[in-house]
Amino acid sequence: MCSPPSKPAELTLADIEQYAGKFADRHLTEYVDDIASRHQQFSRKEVNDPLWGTINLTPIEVALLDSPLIQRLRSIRQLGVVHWIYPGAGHTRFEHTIGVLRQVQNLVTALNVLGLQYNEQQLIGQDFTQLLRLCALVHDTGHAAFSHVSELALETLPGINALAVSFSQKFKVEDRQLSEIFAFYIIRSLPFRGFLSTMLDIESNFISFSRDRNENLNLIVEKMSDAVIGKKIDDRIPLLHEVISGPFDADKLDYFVRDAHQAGTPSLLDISRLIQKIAVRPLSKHDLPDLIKKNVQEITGSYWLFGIKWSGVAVLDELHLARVLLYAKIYRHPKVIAVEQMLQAALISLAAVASPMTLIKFVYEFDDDQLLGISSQRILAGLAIDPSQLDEEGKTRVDCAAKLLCDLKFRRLSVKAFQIQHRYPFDPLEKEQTQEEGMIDFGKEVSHPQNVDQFKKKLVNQVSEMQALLSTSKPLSLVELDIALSIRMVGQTPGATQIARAYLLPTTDRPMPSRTYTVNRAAWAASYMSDQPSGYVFAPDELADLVFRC
Amino acid sequence: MQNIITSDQFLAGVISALALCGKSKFQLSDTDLDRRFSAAFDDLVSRQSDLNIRPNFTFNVDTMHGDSASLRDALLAAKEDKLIALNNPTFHTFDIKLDDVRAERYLNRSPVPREFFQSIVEKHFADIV
Repeated sequence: MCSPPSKPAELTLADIEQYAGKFADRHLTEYVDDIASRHQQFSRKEVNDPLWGTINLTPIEVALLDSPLIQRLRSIRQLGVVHWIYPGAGHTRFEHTIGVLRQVQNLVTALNVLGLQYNEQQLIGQDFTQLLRLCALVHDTGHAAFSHVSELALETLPGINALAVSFSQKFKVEDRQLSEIFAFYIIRSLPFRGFLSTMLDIESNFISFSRDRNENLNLIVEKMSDAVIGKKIDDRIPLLHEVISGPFDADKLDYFVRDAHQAGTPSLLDISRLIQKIAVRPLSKHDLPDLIKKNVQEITGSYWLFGIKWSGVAVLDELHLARVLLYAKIYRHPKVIAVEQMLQAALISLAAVASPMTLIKFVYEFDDDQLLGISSQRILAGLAIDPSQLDEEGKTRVDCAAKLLCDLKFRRLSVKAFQIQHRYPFDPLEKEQTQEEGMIDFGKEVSHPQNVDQFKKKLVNQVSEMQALLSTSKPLSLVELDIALSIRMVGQTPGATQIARAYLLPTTDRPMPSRTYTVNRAAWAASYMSDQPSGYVFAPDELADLVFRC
Repeated sequence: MQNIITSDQFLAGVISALALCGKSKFQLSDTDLDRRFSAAFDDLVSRQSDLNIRPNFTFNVDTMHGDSASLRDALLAAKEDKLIALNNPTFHTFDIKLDDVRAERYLNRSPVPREFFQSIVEKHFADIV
């Protein structure tokens, strides 16, 4: 048992790497030891997916899928909290993971068929095919309970909020989420390497990048971990990693369709059409796009670039449209955001009594359903906090977190007390410069992770004063109000830039990134979303009117 | 406690410093601006201790494509905030819209001192159209 922290300890990437190793150990080592001691053999299997039908699994995929590391994903819902609003959207990261594997094969098969047109018998060989399929299986292993919802709460906390920048700077990649960083370190951990090593004992050639066993293991681990963070894994096909993380990667092909299907909302993505519009081109180094040219080693033979046929611009538009509809209808549904805020408020409340590392462990060691309805006592045990060390505020914070998680379980949800619009068309002062700029500046202030606290403090104090003036029968304390009220500003929808990177491959001319040819689809998508609220203040139902007035 | 600087604040600071030195037109051709902002971001990171700030974003570019998703999202946010105007139809050029008064206000409120923004504008954006 430990006492609560006085100041959050700053987490480093080494801390995350170390915890990912322990996490992988707990979810793999006993399982792998058992396989080794029993000389267990695995056979091919077929599983049925409601969207994609029969999905074939190789023996090593069966072994990985059956491990606690992947089985754990059955307990983590793909969309975190969306099923409280769209009851059908209770699908898990496990189902999505298998769907991504299917879409990897879909893309690989399409690329190999296109390679045949150039007499390339196997553009993506067996080794890379198996590697990419394994990447599909592990790409979401870094998710904590409630997927992105808990992750977004953690990423705002002092002590944790610098990790993503440190990671990006260290590995020279764009911004990565905590779940991707965690998956990267799980793949690079000794227990995961131990799993691969045991699999090589069973099937010595399931992937063979080198005849030297150790070097082969190193290459498998390096390429898998690099692929999940969007780094190059091959010189001959320089964009091969984009089957896992790219403009039309297997992840999107599955979740764009699965999330919409499960929620019962329309999706415009026609995967068979997209596959039909994929193109490949053999190119000399001289003909590669400049940046790719700079980043590849010399090889014998051609480089291969894949992208979309010139006639396929419309399928990229469909990707943009599918993405925007998912955000507009599902991910940014006001009630979905309200539920997310409740969950995040519970975690942020606990951050006042637990160290950042303890809180990270908490959401990785409990799954979705274990957290719902959890008691204060179990929270304290889960955080390894001695209750006698907590002051009154600490106890209140733990009780409030437990209450929020209980309210969620029984769907007693927060409501909108106030919503901030991009535009106020009926306000005669809408176009008045001072007001217009003032509204923008206000939006920026409450979007800022530190400045929003000052505004919230004022709001909480005012609600507290109003409660006293109105002689509310059970007034909430300042701490309780701080946890019960939440403010959320809604930023740009992510993903448009990545889709716009897809290369257009004309038959003869040089490849061209679609972003340089088409109208700026990212700006178009942002315009589409501009009628949606830019922010909300949420409160418990019984307080909403009061908060609105304040 | 270190002050967090967001991508919107950093971009607004650079745009304000550009506006105050009379630069108002930009080309997004094709990844030139991403490269400049990435270099400016590296300068910010190198000075974060002495400026007592902490960025909660990066403007690192994708090595194979040369663009930065977080920069492009910040540019769209800047368009929403009427700091810049993207020119139709392909939005490959944009104009800075904010006036000197607003630019001064952004620089005065920024957790990063204006001298830093002026220095990176001189270093990375001096030759811009």
